[in-house]
Amino acid sequence: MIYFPLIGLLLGVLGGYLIRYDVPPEYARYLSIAVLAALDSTLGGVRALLERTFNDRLFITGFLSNTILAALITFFGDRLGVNLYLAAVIAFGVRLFQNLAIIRRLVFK
Amino acid sequence: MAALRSHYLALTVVLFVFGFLGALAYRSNVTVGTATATGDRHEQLVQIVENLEQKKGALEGELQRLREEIADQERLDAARRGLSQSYTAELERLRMLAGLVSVKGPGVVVTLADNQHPPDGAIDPNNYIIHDYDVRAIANALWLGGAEAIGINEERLVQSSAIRCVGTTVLVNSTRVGSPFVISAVGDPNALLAALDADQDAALLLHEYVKTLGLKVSASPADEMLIPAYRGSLSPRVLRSIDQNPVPGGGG
Repeated sequence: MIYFPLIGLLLGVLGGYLIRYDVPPEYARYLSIAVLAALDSTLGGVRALLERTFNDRLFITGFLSNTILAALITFFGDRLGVNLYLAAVIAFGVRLFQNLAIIRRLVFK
Repeated sequence: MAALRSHYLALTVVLFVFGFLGALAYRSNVTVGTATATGDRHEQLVQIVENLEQKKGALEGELQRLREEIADQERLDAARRGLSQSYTAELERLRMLAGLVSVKGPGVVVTLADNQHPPDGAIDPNNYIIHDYDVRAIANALWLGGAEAIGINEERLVQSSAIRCVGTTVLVNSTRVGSPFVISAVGDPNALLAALDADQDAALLLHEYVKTLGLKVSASPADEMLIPAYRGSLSPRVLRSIDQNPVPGGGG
């Protein structure tokens, strides 16, 4: 059971590597934002699991809404000529490190 | 237990998405962040060009494979239907003139390279580099000398080929080539060398500019050369060889 997420990761990597589709450069930022959102959600999920506060619905909706908001911010940033995209990158980035720190504490407590 | 299971399923889904997108980003060879995040238009364009050139290379390989397959099938078909030897020989000859098959044989190799150390105080640095018209002059002289096939840095010249200047490089068949240019031509070596000497521009390059401008230009006969087939797409539907002068167009 605990291996399911790892198998999912492996399948994802395999699928992403084998699919015959190249992301157009103009969408590279959306892709990177989506990767960051997924990574952020994963760490948040692991943290919640360890804290025993994990909730499936919160987890999935959190992932989706974060991704969608990040994509929207990127899109409007492009229209406005401002790199709003960086706001999402920094928000996700900061949370990644925070969550990692909390996970570390929970594991080695 | 059921709750725990759905926890892991949710994690699995998100990790799958993460792996998929991550691998896609990695494989797409798109620089995420630096080039695009700064909104640098120039870098974006460079990236687009590089991606397209990569794609073009892959498609050219595919085209090459398919053309070889067609030629093989036609050969088989001709043998099965008992078509005469002369028919298939003619087909091969036309295909060679159209540049669709690689050509092997004796010929001439002309190399042209810039003078990388122009003298101090040179009036015009443009005088010390090889230009598109230099390459064109050599290619045209070689056609006149009866070359059966000409390749410039592995790019086969065909009837629709152009040799033209783009920025700091020269475009041959929509592929960028730069100094040193190696122009190989299959044909009678003596006739080709004579044609180079007879051509005014080519002779100037070979004999004058070598000394006065320090350009590195040389022509030498070769016993056995292989000129690759044309890798690009051919738009004309009908081509006919002109028998008096079996030259598939003169490039310029």
